[in-house]
Amino acid sequence: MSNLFILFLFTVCCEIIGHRVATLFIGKIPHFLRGTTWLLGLGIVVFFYFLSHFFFPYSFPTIFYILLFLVIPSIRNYFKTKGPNTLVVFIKKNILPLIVILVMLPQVFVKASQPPYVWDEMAYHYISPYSLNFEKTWDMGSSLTQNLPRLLDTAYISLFSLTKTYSVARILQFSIFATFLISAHSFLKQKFGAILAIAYFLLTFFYGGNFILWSTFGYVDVGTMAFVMIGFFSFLDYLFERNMNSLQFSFAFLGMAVGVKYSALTQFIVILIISSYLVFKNRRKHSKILRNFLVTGGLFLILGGYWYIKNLMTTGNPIYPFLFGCRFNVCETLSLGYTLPFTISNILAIFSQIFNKSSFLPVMFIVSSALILILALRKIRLMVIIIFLFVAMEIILVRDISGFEARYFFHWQALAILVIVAPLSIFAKVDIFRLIRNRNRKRVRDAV
Amino acid sequence: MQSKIKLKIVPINLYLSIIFIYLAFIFLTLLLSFIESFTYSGFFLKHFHISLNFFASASLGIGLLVSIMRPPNQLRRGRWADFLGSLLIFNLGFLLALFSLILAVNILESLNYENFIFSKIHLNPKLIIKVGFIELLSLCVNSVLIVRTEHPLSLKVVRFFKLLSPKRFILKSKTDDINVPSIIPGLTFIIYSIVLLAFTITGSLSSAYKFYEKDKIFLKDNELKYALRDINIYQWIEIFFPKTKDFVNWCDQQVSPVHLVSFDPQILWLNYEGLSRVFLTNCTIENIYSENRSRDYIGRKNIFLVSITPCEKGLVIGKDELSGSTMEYFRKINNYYICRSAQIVQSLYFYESE
Repeated sequence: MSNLFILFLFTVCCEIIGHRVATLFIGKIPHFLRGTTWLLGLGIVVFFYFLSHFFFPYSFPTIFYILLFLVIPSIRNYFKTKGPNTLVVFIKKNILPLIVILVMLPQVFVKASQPPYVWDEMAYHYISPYSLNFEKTWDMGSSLTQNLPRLLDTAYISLFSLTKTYSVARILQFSIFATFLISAHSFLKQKFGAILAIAYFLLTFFYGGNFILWSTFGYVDVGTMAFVMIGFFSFLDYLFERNMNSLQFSFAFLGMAVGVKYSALTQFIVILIISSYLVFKNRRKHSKILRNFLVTGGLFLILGGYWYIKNLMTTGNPIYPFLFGCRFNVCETLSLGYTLPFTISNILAIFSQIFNKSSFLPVMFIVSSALILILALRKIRLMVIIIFLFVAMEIILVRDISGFEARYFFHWQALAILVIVAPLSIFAKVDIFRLIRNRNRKRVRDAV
Repeated sequence: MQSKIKLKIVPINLYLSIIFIYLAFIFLTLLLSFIESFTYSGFFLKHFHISLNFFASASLGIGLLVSIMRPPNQLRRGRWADFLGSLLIFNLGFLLALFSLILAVNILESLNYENFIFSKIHLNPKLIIKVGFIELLSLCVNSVLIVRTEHPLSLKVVRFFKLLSPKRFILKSKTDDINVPSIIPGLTFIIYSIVLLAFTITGSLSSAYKFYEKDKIFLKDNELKYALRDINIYQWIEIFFPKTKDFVNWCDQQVSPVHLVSFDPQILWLNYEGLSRVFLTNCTIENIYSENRSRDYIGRKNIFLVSITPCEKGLVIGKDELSGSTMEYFRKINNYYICRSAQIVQSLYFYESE
């Protein structure tokens, strides 16, 4: 219980810090992102923790002092801007998904209470008690694992240093996943109706059990997916409403995604290309573009981009060991031969993995795509087209570097579910049952 | 709120292309399933990597698509309508023939013994039922297509559905002289939404139930014991790391940090036991990840070595004979050192000097 309390306090501190950063540097927080400000705080806290480890060992309770240092100046503003009130309102409006999540918590806690037991988390995501007690500063060697972006891993270490258990780290990633789902529910409910929103939430949460299970692992794939999807929904809000704040939040969360894992780079580049075109096309409608660009760039760097600057300084390659070599005598190589190449012959295998080998969901995906593309529902059709464009551009970017591995493309599963439930937006636009009832009444009246 | 669901009229070339694709898929699905009923289920997948499920799903999907498309006005009469009429009659006849065959073979099978029909005419009675369902799909789509034309058969189809359906789901055709837009779009959405929501709810409930089942992927027995504190971390290590538990416990008892070296590929990359290093409290295993890195440690004296691969006497070689792949290199290096070391506990050795 004490560990959970520590995690709760940690989250509250991140919420206060994130709220301050969001209101100070961006401005008004879109309604659906109200529950995600703690993630921004998490990113800021991890950035400072990263800097501190150049001077202080893990054994020193640095995270405690960092939290104090960042929270104290932010508390006054948090209450002044009615932070708790808006958060309570957000929670009330999204109470149904929260209740569903609560139902699954006992099982999540059982899985989260395990010691390290899954391969990669034992290999490099988690550190040993020895490293916690004796590692003085960052070990910047030339191996791959020493030079990956490690935002979430660093967050895990910070909590491990406080609680001496990885259970809170597991709950942290699950919390990130739950935050994404609730944020998505809020966004979809406002834009396309409650039925679509709850269907999306349920399908994503229970989708083959993969996401819930993987969110309790010490891996970072679900966390990456969550940040990418929050960034994607923020981008969609910009697309629909031309709200520049939403675009800034989008790049803030994409910055966190690239700080977690290299694989998020392609998603970031695709969104960058599409949004650059849109901003350029609508430049007359936007004011202070340069200022917004600098602020967004700064947030991107602080929330995740600094890992690439660190790599550039230590190895000479921001995405070591990919593409650009290194300044060492021998650069480490990484073979991605275990992934499935993006070729025509592998399309069915890739499709099958995206839908967890379900034979029902691919059919619904095809039918849904057809329904949406044929009907005159502008916003939802635009969203589906953007999703297809996004995936196509990502394939073009990544196909010569990596093939398909399900966990590197968890966001494709989340996007596929969004396409599947898209036709349910009709319930927000047309009362179908009343339409049929009225037509029958008209027929009877005419007959009489 | 909009008051109507609007359907766009599809351009004629696009419409005919989609119809052609649908006809190709449904024909192939029928053909493949028919042939499979004379062989076995999965025949095409095994020998030709062609999935019948994919074709069936695609036929269903494209069939639904053509059902809800509004055809161009030029196709409501003329040769296209005549073609649909002929196709409908063929589909009806074929379905009736299939139905009779399915009934006959299954009755005969039940009156005799299992595989009776297969032994006589090499036909699997269960698999021919699949062909019947696919043909039924074809007939349904054909019926919907012909209702949107002015072919004489469309009126008969409408009257047939009147007999089956409640009044509010009636399909109307233009020849009835009632100007009622088809309620197919609304009906399609209702059916789609009901199917999807039913799947979502039932799938969610069954997934939630599976999470609470013991010994399934989400909950293994030892995991529950650990969560309930029936076993502690030492017992956990004993269960999952039988070969390295001793050296993990040895490390726990050391008073000052100890550096360990490992050349064993099993410890470095291959074996789950090697991952027990995440539990080390007072020891660290040096991060040797390449041949170049290993040369920093070759030639050193008084080093602690970790290896789950025991000494293979027959493999002892001189240091100058290292060759082969990285794995082979590390195997040889490891064997060289382990065979010249004293064992402290299982998997832990001490190398003094040559």
